[in-house]
Amino acid sequence: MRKGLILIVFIISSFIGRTTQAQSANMSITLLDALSFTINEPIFLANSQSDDKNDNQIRAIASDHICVVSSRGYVVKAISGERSGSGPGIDGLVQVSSLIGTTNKGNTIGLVLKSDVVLPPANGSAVTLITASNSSWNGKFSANKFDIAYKIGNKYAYIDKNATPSTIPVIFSVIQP
Amino acid sequence: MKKIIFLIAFITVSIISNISFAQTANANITLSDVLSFSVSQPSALDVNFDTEAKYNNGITSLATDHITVVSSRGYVVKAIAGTVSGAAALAPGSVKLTPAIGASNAGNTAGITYGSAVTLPVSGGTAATVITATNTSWTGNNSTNKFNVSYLIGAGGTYAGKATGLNVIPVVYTVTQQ
Repeated sequence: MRKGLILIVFIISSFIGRTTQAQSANMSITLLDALSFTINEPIFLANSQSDDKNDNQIRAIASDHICVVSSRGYVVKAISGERSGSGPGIDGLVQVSSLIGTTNKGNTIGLVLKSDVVLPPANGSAVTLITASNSSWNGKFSANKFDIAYKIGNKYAYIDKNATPSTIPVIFSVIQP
Repeated sequence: MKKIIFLIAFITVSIISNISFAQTANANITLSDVLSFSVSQPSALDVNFDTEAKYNNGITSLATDHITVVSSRGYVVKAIAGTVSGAAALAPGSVKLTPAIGASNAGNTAGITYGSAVTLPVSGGTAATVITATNTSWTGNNSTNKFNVSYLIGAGGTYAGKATGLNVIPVVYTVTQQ
């Protein structure tokens, strides 16, 4: 009986003897907006030399044309720049559609993609082409890539125009609302 | 005769005076546990996520000589998150700890093992072991073990899409003697 009591006291003492101390450090983590945006120059040639192209629109798809990395939701808009060259204008004659990019691996949840949006003239208001309600990140992939389908011209729109080329910039912008 | 008696008495007294006496005193030395522990608050733990690279890769922050331990015997250092604050409600599991011997450590390094990329447990969970020392921190005259801790914060886009602003994740360290 006495040995048992001694053993219990010894065990309790062993636990009490296990001194523990605590200290803490704080990690202050500030999350700020991150946004990057690139437009590549696609390899497609749009001209209007054949009867078929005059009868119909030229359709060209720029694969992975737009790349967005955004820490939160974003909106991509488009507008025409100032035309250069002596060729015909395009006011109201270019339609733009956004599609999920060929090699996109980013977040596709909450994306709203617009189709056949008429590109506004340089002095107009930029038109919304893509609306993303969430970040572009999807696990380990950060970037959203988008294909852009251009429809240029309209039936006989350029049939009697100057044959010299025009350069019409398309200006894309991205904002985090 | 008188001289003989005097001589005998003289010799007897001499012998008696040469008697030795022995006494002892005990030094009662009690060795008790000694343990001290501190954690620094370095500026490296104040981080901003403001680029794609930081959101993608996370931020690695090195806290030099972050943990200091003086222990008379082996010990274990554990870590767990405190109560997280901030609008983004960051998960403690988004932080990984990798301890290493301190930049200015002069203590005993024999018998120390380190965790690697230890995921910070959520408050209320079970604290994770980051350092185990089987021996005292003392080595000769040097009593103190110091440890660096590398924090990998928010890798893999974990924080992307969350509300912007300041968030605080407390890291509570405990040391227990073995």
